[in-house]
Amino acid sequence: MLKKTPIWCPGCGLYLLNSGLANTLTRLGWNKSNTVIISGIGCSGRTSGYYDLDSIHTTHGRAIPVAEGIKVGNPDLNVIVFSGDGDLLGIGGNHLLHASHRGLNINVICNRNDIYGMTGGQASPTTPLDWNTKTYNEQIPKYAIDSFNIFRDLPKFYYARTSTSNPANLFKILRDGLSFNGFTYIEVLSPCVTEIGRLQHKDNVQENIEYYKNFITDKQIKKDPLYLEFVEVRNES
Amino acid sequence: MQILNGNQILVQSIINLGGTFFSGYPITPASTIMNEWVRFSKKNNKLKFIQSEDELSAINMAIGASLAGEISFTATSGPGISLMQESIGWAFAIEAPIVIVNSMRRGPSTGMPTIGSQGDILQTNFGSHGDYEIPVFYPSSLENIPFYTYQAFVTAEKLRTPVVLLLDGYLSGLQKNINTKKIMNIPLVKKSLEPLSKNEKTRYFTGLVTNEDGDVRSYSVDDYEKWLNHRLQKIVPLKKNNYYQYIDNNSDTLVISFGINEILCKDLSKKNINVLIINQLFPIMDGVVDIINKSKNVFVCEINKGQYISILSALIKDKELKFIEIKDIDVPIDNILRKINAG
Repeated sequence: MLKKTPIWCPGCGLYLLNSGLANTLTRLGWNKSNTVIISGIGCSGRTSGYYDLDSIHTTHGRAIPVAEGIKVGNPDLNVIVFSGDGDLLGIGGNHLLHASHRGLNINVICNRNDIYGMTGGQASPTTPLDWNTKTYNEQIPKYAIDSFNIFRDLPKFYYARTSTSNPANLFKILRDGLSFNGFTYIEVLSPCVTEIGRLQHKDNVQENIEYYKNFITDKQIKKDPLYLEFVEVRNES
Repeated sequence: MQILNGNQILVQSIINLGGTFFSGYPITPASTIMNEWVRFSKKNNKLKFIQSEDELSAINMAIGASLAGEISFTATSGPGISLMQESIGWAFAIEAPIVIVNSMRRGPSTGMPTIGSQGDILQTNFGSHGDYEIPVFYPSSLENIPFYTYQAFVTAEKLRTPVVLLLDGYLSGLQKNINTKKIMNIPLVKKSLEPLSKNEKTRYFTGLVTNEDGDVRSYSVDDYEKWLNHRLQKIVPLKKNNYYQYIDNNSDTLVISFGINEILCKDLSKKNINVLIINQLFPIMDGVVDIINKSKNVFVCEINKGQYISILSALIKDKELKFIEIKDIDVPIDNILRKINAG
């Protein structure tokens, strides 16, 4: 699937995530005759240019509406939205809220690195309070958004949160999520070593892994010392 | 014969020419377009509809559906067009065929939602950032709404460009007992862009500037020139169109207008004044420039503070065009004649 050398920094979580996605597409038989990939703006948003599929690079935050229009226009297409946490939960947060409630069969993959990487390290909607970013402001702190809250009351969805530190789990979640017949949202915690690592004293790999292992967002999460996994699937019609 | 208003004629024309997808957000005076579309889509499975959560997603859904193979459009008014500007520029960059209907109301900001105006003319071509140009069609009566609706869609598909179809709040609500033959006899519009996943080679639709190989990592000004010129030159042939109505009374005075003002202009033409009603606002037609150059005293009447006259004045070097503001559509014709005679 990948035909050009991506621009991402060495050590970026996007490399593993895209390897997993490419692998999954091959296993599921999704190729250029039946699949479309759409991405937003940012480092994660450059993804769509590297696949041998018809791909669309939208304006900031509008990947999900374009995907919904495509799905209603041609319901036989497999539609994948691939973007970052700033694009999907910040400027595009409203679209995620409404698209999850519309429940069309599209797949949204969020590369969650908790930062606006391409513009140089500003805080994103999911950046934890205690992180130091270029726009950290003590006067007006902002709590991090937990995207599961959008899905809490819906009867049908596939929601998963995992990390790039956990490839076997990640690849299985991608397979299950993409083949789910309903709205799929997969959130993948992934490191941005250039912008986060060196600003937090987390500039070595071990501390980054420790951070992801101890990440707690919900009481239902299974805190396993070796793996990070949280999957919630509901399929009542 | 049927009693129909402008919005209903618009929707029925679009259905008859093969339009299949509409996404919209309610706004006066364009909400009835959505209601009418839904009324027809309940009886016709081919018509698809999404009510979006805001105008930003309305236009992006329509662009997505257009790329996937539908003939799609969205309809809104001034405040919605302001929100859609970034996506209109994006549609210009990726060469997506889409029609955006703007039923103009008084602005700026919330303004007067139920009173029509012609205040969004400059916004059609100067609202988004950067250098771009898109075609703009503006019917001037209920009878020519089907023709210019067809022109908007066929231009969008043939040239792969976003197109703005203007109406004003007056035309949207104007009702008449109308002969529906013109609405029914409208030709079908076909898609020219291969739908997604049906093309032989995979395509990358991006707002970034690409070089000839489709690579976004190009930093040379030459690549930018080629990319932009390809998109700007596409609509130059439209300058040869004759989408205007010229009533020549051999007078020294010429009155130019568009939209709902056609009624006023037809009355003026009975007082031995030349009248020009323009139905394609952008790109500016060569025929219009020729007519203005041939006339001596030229007045432009608009329901705004002087928008289209500023565009025409940039092209006419030898004389000064004079502006007459139409404050409301039931202005007595003597007021206009007085301003014309005063020069």
